Amino acid sequence: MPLDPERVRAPLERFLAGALGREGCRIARMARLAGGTVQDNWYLEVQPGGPGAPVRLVLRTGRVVGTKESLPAEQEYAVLCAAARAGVRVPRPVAVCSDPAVIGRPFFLMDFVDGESRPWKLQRMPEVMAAGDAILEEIGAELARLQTVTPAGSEGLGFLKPPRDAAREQIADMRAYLDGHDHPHPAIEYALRWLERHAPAPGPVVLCHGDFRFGNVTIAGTRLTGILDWELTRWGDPYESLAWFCMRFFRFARPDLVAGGLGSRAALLRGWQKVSGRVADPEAIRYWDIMANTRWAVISLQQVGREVFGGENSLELALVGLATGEMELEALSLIARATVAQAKGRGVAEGAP
Amino acid sequence: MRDHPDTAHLLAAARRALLEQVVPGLEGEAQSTALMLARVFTVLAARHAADARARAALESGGESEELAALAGLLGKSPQAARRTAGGTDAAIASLSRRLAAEIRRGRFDPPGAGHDALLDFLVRITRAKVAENNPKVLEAMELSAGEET
Repeated sequence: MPLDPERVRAPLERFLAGALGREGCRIARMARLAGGTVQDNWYLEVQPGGPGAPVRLVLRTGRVVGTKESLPAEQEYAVLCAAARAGVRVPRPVAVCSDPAVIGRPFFLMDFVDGESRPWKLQRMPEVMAAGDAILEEIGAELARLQTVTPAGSEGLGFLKPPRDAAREQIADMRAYLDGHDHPHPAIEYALRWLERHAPAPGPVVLCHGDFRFGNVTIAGTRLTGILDWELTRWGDPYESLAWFCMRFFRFARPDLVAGGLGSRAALLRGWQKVSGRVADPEAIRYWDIMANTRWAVISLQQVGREVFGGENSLELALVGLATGEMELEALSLIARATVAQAKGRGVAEGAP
Repeated sequence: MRDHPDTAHLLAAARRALLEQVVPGLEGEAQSTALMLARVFTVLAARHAADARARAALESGGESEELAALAGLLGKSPQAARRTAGGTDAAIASLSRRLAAEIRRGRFDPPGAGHDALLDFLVRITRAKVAENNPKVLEAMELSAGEET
């Protein structure tokens, strides 16, 4: 259930006074923000007592019980703090509250970030689309900054368990899910088998947003203003997010623009390479593209599972299930293309024409 | 025999009414919900048409294409599979499960005719699913078949 603003007003105003260190905080405005089937986001305009401009914040809390993968508010807050410390453009974390007496469940506060995040709106703004590649360079650069956070160098992220083998563990998880599912999925099995046979040697893992895509970034004017929605953060391969951002499903009305329906992958990679100092490996990108589509296909099955067992926005979740085939088909066609690319690669290595 | 309108007409009329008379008067979340409902009508119409085609094929003595292909891949007889499972849909489910397990075990790993027949089958059934659920996506995918990723 969403929060009832009137019921939480008084305890929340007391909490805000402590969190902001300002006496007599009044909530001048509290409005629910659109989007999010798992999280509940509220815009707060807080007028501290005495002189001074109102403070604009976002209150974020789990809507019901989170899904298995999504982090509880306190952990998402810790991740947001780690990203902020690494210099990633995120809404500034303000305070976290684990005390259920305040609003009935844990929540955290962050600065409100100006800008638009809804893809269908952004894709209708000519100035945004004209600056697509420049925005993607910024996004790539932010991703590289985020990836400087590693298990060894992180503080307060002990609740995230680093995988020993990012690719193979994801494959095993997906298979375990399929084994408990009432429908067989031969196309997903085919993709998983391919992923297993072509899995890269395990490498170092980095902090991975978990849903790094168009829709989870805010853009104001033609500038990236923030990366949002950190509830699915985990440790992962550096290439996972580069692939996730380019998934066909998340290109919305512009499937022709590979990176998020916003611009070119080359631009995203340019930004990433400039900050990370790495040169992107095309084979790794092909591999994680296939992983991304396979993973999202399996997640879509899980989302329908959530719908079947009831909950809010059930029509929305049911319709996610209609998309499973899109990701399966994309994975199959990417595998076919990867096979051609590999054959060509071998040809070059062996000096064939 | 049912009177007119038939299912296809009913669904098309409901979708049109929703899009032309209801959606323009709504905003925000209510409007997105109405648009989702319109999509449900589209999917139901496509599924209804596909079911009718499959039924017609079976009635004219044909074999379900999907069952025949599955049986072929697994080296089984479609008739026997249907008898054992007690129906076409149950046989398709049972052979699909078997196929999924064989893929995982690596039976289709070696390059060659067996692998190619499997891939061809998977692309066909998946395309059919997408054609039912979101034909626009299928068109876009076809257009970009050679795209640089």
